[in-house]
Amino acid sequence: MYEYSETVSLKDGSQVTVRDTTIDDLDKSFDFFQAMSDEERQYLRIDVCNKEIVRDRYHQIELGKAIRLIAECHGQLVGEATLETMRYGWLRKSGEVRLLILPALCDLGLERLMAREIFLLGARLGLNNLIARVMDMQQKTYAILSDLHFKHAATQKDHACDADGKMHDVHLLTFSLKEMWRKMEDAIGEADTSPLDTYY
Amino acid sequence: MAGFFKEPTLRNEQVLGLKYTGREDFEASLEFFRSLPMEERLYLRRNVTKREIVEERIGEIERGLATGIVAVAGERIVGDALLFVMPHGCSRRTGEVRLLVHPDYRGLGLGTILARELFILAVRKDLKKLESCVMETQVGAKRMLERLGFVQEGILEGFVNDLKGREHNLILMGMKL
Repeated sequence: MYEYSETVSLKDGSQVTVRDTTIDDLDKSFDFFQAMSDEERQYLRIDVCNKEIVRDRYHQIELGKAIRLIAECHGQLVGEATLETMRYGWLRKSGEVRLLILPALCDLGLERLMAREIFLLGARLGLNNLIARVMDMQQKTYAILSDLHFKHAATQKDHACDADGKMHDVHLLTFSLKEMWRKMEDAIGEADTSPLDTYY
Repeated sequence: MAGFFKEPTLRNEQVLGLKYTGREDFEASLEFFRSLPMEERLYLRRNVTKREIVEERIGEIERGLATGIVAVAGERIVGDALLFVMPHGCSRRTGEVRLLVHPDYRGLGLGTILARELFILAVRKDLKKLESCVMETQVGAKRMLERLGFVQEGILEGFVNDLKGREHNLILMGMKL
């Protein structure tokens, strides 16, 4: 379990605590999903109106298949960021980033903050790659991930279905952590041979 | 094993049985995956030679996240097909297919037979699209998917690692139904 808790200020000055989550947050989590509109829920992959399915999400954390950070404001859950990982198999060095933020707080910078934290988590875990799936209407999320230097890798046409049954494209955005570390090491390597080394 | 829903004839006139995968197929499934040549096992998405991974697979079928079909010759599983569908949410109309035929039974039409059954399943589930992914080195698998009508949708570079830890590109393929 990743032990993390930090209180941050959003653009309007309101205080939000970002921390990792446990099964004790089940009721808050369920309330969070019930507070979503049908339009917001259409981006989700599971039936969040079923409390047993919401409970199972915590089991995935216990199995080591997911790490989740939540954002709390005045005791209510207002957002979550998840890094889904595989312990085995060909995707074991990759993690999928999933962001769920109440729309009102997206404009106050919470989505960007959570995206950054889960990105850093992936880096600390030693993953090689991160991936995020964004539906074609999620332009703000796309922009935030682009700002974090995620690159568009592929589009799965007509992959996702909205609440009205209409199919949408899903864009896959990826970030190579391995490439980032390699560039940093190269840069440090160059610094080690800088003229300063010859001063002494 | 009993309970075949179809008994297709292969190109070599051999008759197999097709059945939906269930808990009773656990040991035979494990044996099937363990009988694959080592060089093929390296490229499998999950290490299905491990009991806990086969258990995970059977669990997914029992929870309704996937439907499996096995091709049986005598008591032996010689082909395995899986259709993954999330029952809820935005991916509920898209299925992911996985298909594996034992080397002894390739070139006899079994891959096509299993793929056809997956298509029938997908249509019955009212899916709009099928997807699959292969490592770039799995040339034969990619060719088979293309023959079935899948097209390449993208490449994720260096995204997957085989059992030896070597990196490979992942090819995403899709087909509208």
